[in-house]
Amino acid sequence: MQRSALSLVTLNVLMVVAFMAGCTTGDSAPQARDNPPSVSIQRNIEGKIDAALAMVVNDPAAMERLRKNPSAGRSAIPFVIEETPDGRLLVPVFVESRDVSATAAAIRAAGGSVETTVASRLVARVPLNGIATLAGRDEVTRIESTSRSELKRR
Amino acid sequence: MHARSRIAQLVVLLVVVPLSAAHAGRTFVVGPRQGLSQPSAPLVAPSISKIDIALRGALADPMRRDDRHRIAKRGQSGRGFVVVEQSANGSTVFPVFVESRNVAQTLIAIRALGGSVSTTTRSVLVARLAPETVESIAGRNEVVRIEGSYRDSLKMDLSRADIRADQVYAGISLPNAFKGAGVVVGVVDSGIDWTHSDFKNASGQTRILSIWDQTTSGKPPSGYSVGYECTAANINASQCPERDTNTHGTHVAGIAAGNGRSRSGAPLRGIAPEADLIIVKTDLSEANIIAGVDYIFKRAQALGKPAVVNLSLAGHVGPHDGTSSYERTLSDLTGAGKLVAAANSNEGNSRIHMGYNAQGTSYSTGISTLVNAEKELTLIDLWYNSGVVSVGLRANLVVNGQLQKLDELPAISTGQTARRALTDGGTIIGYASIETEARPEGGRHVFVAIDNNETPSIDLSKIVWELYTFGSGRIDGWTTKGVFDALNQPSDGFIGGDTSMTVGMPATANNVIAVGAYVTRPSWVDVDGQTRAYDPPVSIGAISSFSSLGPTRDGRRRPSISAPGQAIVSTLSSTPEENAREYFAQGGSYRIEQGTSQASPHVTGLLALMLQARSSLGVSEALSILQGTARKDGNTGGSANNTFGDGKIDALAAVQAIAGTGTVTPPPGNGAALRLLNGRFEITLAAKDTGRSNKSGNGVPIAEPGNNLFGYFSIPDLTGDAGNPEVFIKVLDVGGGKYWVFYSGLTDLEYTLTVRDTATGKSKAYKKAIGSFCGDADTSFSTFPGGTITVLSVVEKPLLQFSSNAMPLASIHASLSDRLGVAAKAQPAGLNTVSEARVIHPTANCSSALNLFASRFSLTMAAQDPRSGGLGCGLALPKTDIFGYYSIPDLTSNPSNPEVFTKMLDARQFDNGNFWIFVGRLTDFSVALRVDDRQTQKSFLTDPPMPGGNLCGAVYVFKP
Repeated sequence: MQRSALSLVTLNVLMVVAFMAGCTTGDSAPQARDNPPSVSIQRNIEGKIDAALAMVVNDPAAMERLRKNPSAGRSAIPFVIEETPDGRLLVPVFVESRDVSATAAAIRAAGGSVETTVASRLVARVPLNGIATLAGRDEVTRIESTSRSELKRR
Repeated sequence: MHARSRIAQLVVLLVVVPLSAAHAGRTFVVGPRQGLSQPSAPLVAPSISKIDIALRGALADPMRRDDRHRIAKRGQSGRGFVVVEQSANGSTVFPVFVESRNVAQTLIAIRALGGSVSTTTRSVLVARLAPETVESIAGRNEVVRIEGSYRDSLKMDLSRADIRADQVYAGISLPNAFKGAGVVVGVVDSGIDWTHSDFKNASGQTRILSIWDQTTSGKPPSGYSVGYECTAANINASQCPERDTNTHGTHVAGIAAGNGRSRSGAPLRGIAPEADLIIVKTDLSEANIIAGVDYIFKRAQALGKPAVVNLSLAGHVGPHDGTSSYERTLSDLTGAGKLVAAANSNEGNSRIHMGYNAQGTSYSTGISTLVNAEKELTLIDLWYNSGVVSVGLRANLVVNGQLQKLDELPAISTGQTARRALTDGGTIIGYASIETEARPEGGRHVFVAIDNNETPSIDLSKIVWELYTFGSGRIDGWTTKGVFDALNQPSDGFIGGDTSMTVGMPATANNVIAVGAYVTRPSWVDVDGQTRAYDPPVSIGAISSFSSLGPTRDGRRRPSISAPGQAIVSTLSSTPEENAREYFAQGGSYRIEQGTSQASPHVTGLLALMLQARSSLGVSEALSILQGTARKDGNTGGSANNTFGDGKIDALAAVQAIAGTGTVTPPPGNGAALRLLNGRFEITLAAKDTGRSNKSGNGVPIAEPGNNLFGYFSIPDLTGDAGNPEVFIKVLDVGGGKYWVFYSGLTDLEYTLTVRDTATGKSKAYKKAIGSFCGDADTSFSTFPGGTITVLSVVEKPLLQFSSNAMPLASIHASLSDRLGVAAKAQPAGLNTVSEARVIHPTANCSSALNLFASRFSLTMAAQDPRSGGLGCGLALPKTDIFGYYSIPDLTSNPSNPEVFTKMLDARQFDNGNFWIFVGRLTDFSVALRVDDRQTQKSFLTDPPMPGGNLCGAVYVFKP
């Protein structure tokens, strides 16, 4: 496919350079442009966790950051996450299960709560660090995170 | 004396009071103005308590009153407060509504104090009072209440009228009225202002059964783990901490179920004003939304009531095909007597969707889409069902018109994850992640996140992000906090974003009724009296540009249906976090909003009405009825589509589909039939003075010689005058087996017209409620009278949007009065009077006159089409010495088609020397009449004119 010139140039290179000069670095060290870092590639946990949730749960660095400081960086997490007064992170999730009673008991035992059960699905709050364990249970077939809707006034 | 219609009956009441009291020079002493001149003094006098608060304020504040007086003189709004006028002698007068237990006594008292009365009903007088006399009138024993007059420039009733909810409220063409009683309306939103009067009943008790505030803690509902629940008892005791500072939820709840109690006559009531309410204030997370819906249905079920939940919210993370846990759980919660309506979302003009068939085997042979990111975070959610698609992300700058790559997260395919910081010259420009999954149900999901890790100096919006794919299979994607097409335009070699499939979740769920928005109001007057309008302008009846488009990703049509969503006035929370005065209205208790958020509660309210008719109504049946009765017009197109869905909701037709059109009470005695169209149709009329004398009677048909399509009825059983015309009906054969029925009257009696088709033996009935002078037009059935009955509103030409409010009343007034050759000397707007007029054109355009009362009065008429603005003159068709009608050939090209009717009554002996003029019409044209009194040589003009857009009549009062 031909990728031709853009007809509209709105970015000013000098401006971008100036912006770059003011950048700070996060956890990742500055990388040379001509020497990109290697890409972290790994597999999802048995396909039971939705991609947004897996993006965090499967990222040890992200989990470690959140463990150290639950309040930091949460706005960049692509799903709803709640912090309890005692600093725990709970994730509101939908859990599909072949045995909702057993799953509900497991969630509560892990410090979570179940809001309601509809058919084979539980609407629950699960500790962030308990997601992987929950996904590992035989009767659990799917865990989906929740995003935040917007009110549709214009 | 002839007793003529309901107004004539009032006359009987008036003449039995001792008129001597009015003529004996009785002096009414104006009492001290208790507290009015001393704002700090408590307003405790019983007489003061009868005066509505806004009027009290105006009386107590001469400066503000004068200010409003100047505004009123300029013809502008009274700043959202009571209307103030200037009398002919320059003094200030207040148009007011006086509720009285003895109208006749109050009328005499008002006139004795120099006031005037323009209209009376059984218990209310419309009067003009000098400020210093208001309290004196309020102090009278028989006076119950005095309310100021407000300029009703903003009305929920515009959208109510558009969807014909008012007819359902009145029980017209239905077995009974439907107002949502016995049904729970649930609202999951930003909360509610539970102190608002529109959510209380007449005794001041709350209509809200409970509120679950999920955003706070301390008292979760039984069975749930978070939040704070307020019961009705808590609310009535003012012990509920919940506040709606956002105002969205209060507005939405008002549309669905507000009862309008804040204003006299409830002009701003919602669709189901007698429904119970259960409110969930949510933090908008999908899990909490589901819990909220679950809570509402469970609470309603415990009370044995059906429920409908409104979700004026949406998001775009997810498959958009009904298969996510969120969508499926919501669908599973619905059932018989458990319905959900949701906003279709507001991205109809935002390119947040991209979709194409993937191709190629590498970056160079694949497809790219550019993304405009927001500064801190942008999410891209990609979905495909078959094939294998690899997805990568590049960060670019534009240099000399060319994309220059800075960094890249290389493409990965299903089952892989990639993440890292992208850099330029060692400086981090963003954190990118790509996560993939194969879903258990077979779909493929790729989730791309770009964020700045809460680092303010990293501005994602300054980078041209390029999402590229290669492989095979149909792929669809949505952005959250961004749009496709960097630089705001698709460029050569890149696939652009589009606005299809912008329907949000959960409107994509299978068992949710998704609602699009269309325009019913293009402008409004704000609380400061400023007229506001959309820029660019919007057209009444057109789809709102923001209303999201379908279909769902799996090809189901969305929206399901459309409803009014722009601009809608509804309840305003008293704790708004922003002071958006340009959107505040009606003294501050209401506000303007627009969005599919506003469309959805119209459907929610309608579903409540339908549930009242059938509590076991399920989703499929409800949807089938809504769609089967939907209106289609020039905006919607003739077939269902992904813009309007199946069309615009029709509340009356939808409720009729469940409840039927009502059982017509057989006329007492042998009601004779009016036969039209060569006897094809036989029409009978039964009338009742409901709630007053409760007498019933037959209509006596009066055929019009030489006119095969039109006739009228008198009602001598109730009026004592067989020659006094009261109700008019016209049946037009429009070809193709279609017939249109128009009816209207010069009476406020309740009546039912039964039209029987002698060819089929079937009948159809039209019922008008007591107290109204409004007729209607039935122009929509394909065959008469079988099939699904869909009665359009007062539109003479179906498929055209009537637009009375597109034409300002002042403009109508000027146009029509000019046509009649006169200009009103004084224009006391808002009340039905006949103002003295000065002749400005000695030879008026409209000269064809009805000559009544032995030719003492000459009545000429002018009309205006509210759609085209075209002007025309009435062609007089005289009938009797007090009655006649007009055709309008200038606008209809038919000189024998009767359109406007007028009847004059001599009320001088019992109404202070006044004559009364009744005007009715079988057209929705705007109408004004000029009256020339050949005895006094004075000319008069009906003031205000009858605005177009309905078939309502009016009664005017004047003293020659």
